[in-house]
Amino acid sequence: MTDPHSALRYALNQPPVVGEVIDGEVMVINLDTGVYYSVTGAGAAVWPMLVGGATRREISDQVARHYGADAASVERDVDTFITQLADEAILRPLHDGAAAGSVDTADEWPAVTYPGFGFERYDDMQALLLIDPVHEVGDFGWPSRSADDSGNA
Amino acid sequence: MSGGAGGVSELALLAATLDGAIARLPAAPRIYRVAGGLVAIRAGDRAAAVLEALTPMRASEDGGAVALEVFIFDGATDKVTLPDTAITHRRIAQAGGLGAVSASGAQAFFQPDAGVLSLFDASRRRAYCWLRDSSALPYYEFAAPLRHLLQWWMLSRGGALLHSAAVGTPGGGLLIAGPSGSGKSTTALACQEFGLGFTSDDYVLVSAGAPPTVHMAYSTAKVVRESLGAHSRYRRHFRNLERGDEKPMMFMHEVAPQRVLPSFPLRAIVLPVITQRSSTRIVAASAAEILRAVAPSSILLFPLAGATAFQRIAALCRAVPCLRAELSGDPHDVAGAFVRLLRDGTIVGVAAAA
Repeated sequence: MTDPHSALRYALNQPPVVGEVIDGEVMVINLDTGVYYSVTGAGAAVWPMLVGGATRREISDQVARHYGADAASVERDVDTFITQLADEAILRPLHDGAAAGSVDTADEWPAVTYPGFGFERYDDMQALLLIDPVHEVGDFGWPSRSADDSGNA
Repeated sequence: MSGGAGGVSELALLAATLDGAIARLPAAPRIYRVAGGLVAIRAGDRAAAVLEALTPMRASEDGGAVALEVFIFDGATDKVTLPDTAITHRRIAQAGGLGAVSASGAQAFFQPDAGVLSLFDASRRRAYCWLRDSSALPYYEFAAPLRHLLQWWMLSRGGALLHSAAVGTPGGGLLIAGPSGSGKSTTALACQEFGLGFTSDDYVLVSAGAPPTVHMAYSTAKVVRESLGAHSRYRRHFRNLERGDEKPMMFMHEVAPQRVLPSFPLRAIVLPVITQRSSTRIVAASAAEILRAVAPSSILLFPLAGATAFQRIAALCRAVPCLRAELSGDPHDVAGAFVRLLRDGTIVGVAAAA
């Protein structure tokens, strides 16, 4: 029996969410909450498909085919990835009958081994939205040498 | 953000109130050239104190057509009281984001703590700034006055206001991106000591083009109070030393007027990163890394800038080289690296280090 979730389609939850694909990465910002996100790896590659209305199944198939990866594990990764995006209200489901957008081919994807789906969440700006827009979050001063800092001459 | 019938009527009521009070302002405007456009600002002497940071942009009145009229009211001395609206009570707010209203091409935002209302009407090319009491404003309103109006105005003209420092020469310069505390201000200050022009230590205006052009928004330079000892040469220029909870602030047109650089073509965006290196190294960075450093604070602290500002900043990151500066602990070493980057790299415009 076919998994009913595999036919689900999504769109970017816009507004308040905005996203830009840049340099093999997607930066997403929720303008209401101030939380922003970084999507990398296969997630960035499938982003145009995903927000263009491709189904989970179409995305999984494309990723598995392009990277020559195991279909079942890719499917699990896609499900996890989309669930994260939906839980963060980055995506909203398209209802039955809603027109799907264009579905990208994989022509411009990087030809590398399957990188998995990278997803990072940043909430360091969130508290500032609750106050007057004073951007100064602290007086850290001129960069001071710290044992935790990396890099050497 | 909010709109709808309530937003329209409240915005119209506020605009009408402030329009009705314009006659209380001096008739002669102060003229500024901001990001290439003429801006005529009418304000009484008390409210006009907030304009000090715009001094290098003062222009003559015969420079051409005015692109924006700005009216600044001091609620106390100009005797302008705002009507009781949901905007000024900040009831119109998202669950999270800053409360602001956009309707019928106009935008408004109220800062309850500072007591500042910003209202921009793009169709009439008019902007209003109401100050509850200009003598009681926090220092950041003097450091970066009218910033919400300037952001909305720049967005309406194809540009944007960015949270970034900027240094360079008339031939080309750099945006220094990064969060507060990453060394933007100190780097910009050190660069001007090293012979580069100073365009910003915090906010800049950027207009589209090939290459994009960076414009001064404010002449303000700030240091952290803990580093006052290292900046003792500027001591007489600081305006707010007596206010112990504020960052000491000065104006570059007073400190080193010869270093004021009103605009430059953008050559690269640099992200400073604190390291333990003994000398600063500048390496390539991904555009995504730079976008992550610039976009959140440029967008999230500016209500209604939103999607348009994000697209503009992303386009900027795609348009020029993105670099990461791995900083040493010596500001002058950092400045030297930036001078060499402009002078010796594919980036030109600097003759020699001072």
